[in-house]
This record gives sequence, C-alpha cells and structure tokens, in this order.
Amino acid sequence: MSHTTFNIHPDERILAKVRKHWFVLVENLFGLTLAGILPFIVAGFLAGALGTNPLIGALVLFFGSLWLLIAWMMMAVAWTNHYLDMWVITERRVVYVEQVRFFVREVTTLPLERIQDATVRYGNFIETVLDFGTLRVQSAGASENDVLMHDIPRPEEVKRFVLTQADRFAKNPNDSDFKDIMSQRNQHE
Amino acid sequence: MDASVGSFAAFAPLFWILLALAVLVSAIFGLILSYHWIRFAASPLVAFFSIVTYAIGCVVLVAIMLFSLITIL
Repeated sequence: MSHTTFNIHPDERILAKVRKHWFVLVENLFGLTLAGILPFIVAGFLAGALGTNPLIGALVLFFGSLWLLIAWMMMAVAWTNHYLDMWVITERRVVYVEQVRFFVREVTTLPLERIQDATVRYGNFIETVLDFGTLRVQSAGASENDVLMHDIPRPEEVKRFVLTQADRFAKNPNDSDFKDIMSQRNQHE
Repeated sequence: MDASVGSFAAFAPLFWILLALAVLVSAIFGLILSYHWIRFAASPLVAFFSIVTYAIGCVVLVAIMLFSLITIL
C-alpha cells in the first residue's frame, strides 16, 4: 500500500477513504488563479497610460508569465496537498494521512476501540449549503488524541459510518466476517 | 514612453538568467511533485495526469516568456 504510507495488516481491509470537499480545492485554486493573472489585469487597466508600445507589452508578458508560472507551481502544490491528505477508515481504525509539506507526511491513527463519540460542525453558510464540515472523532483519554476531519464532504454520513464501525468492533473485535461491513461500504459509496 | 524594441539589449543576460532560473526551478519543482504523485497517489492515472498537466502549463508559460523575450531583445 505505497499510497497510504501506513502499514495495513494482511487481514485488515479499507472500508472508506475520505478526502476534503472539492470546494476547498476550488477556493484555493481560484485565489491563486486570481493572483496569477493580477499583473495582466493591472496592465489592462493601465493600457491607456502605457500606450501601445510593443516593448511594454512584451515586458508585461514576460514578467506576467513569470509570475503566472510561480502561481502555477503553487496551484500544483495545492492540488498535491488536497489529493494526498486523506482519512482512511479501516475495519480496525481511523487513519489520517496529512501531507504537511514536501517530504513531510504525518499519519495519525485512532483505533476503533478508543472511539467514544463523534461531533459534526458546519462552520459557515457555504459549508451548510454544500454539505461539508468538520468531524471530530472523540477518543478515550485526552482531547488532543481526537481526530479532526476538516472540510470533509457529508460529515453526518461519515460520522454514522465511523460510529457504526466502532459499535461493530466493540461488540465483536475478532469478527472475521466482513459481509455486513462491505454492504455498508457499498451503500456509503 | 520612448522605449523601443531592442533598447533592452544591454539587459539581455539578466533576462536570459531569469528565464533559465524559471525553467530550472519549475523543472526541479516538477520532479519533487512527480515524486510525491508517483509515490503516494492511490491512482496511477491521477499521478499521470497531474504530471502531464503541470508539465504542459510550465512549457506553455516558458514558451510565452521566450517569445516575449525575443520581442524585447
């Protein structure tokens, strides 16, 4: 499982993977795009003052493209962080894989038997309308051990799924029959 | 503005260095990103399209820079 950077036990199955909501990515990319084309917008407004000198136009194009190239690289970073950040729910634990920065990844694991409760928070109007928000999976012990799932789509659904798995695990930790899990997974997907 | 095409010829090395730096940095950045996409992305298809999209964007922007640099000099 090279993509997850955490070790899956041979008899452990991944039930669901959750990434951040697409709106978060679009929001980041929109801001970077706007910043990237800003020199061209400013040049457009100043076109009257600068005149129609082809040299000025070429200079604007040169430095504007250089600026846009930097914004393009930042967009690639935003996409990388979006795609590589994920929560993985297995039949034994909840794992949060976070791409902190280049070459730095953090993996936080919360075993299902330590899950006590889960709460959902919608932070603003857009989150409520688009149905994404923060899910806090509370663990036994100190609150700093809680797993926070920021900006996940359909947090209520994910919450139910996680709590169902925690209940199942609590009732029978050695359950090797995964039919019910897989049927829930299919419904979830 | 009394600047004319070719009047920046004295600064040519500076512009070429800027362009070379842009190519170098974006290429190194691309290699680092590609490493992450190939190493950690769950889907090879997503990794492939990420690399290709990034590369196309860089090539287009560097080509525009090159074209405008030729005009400037």
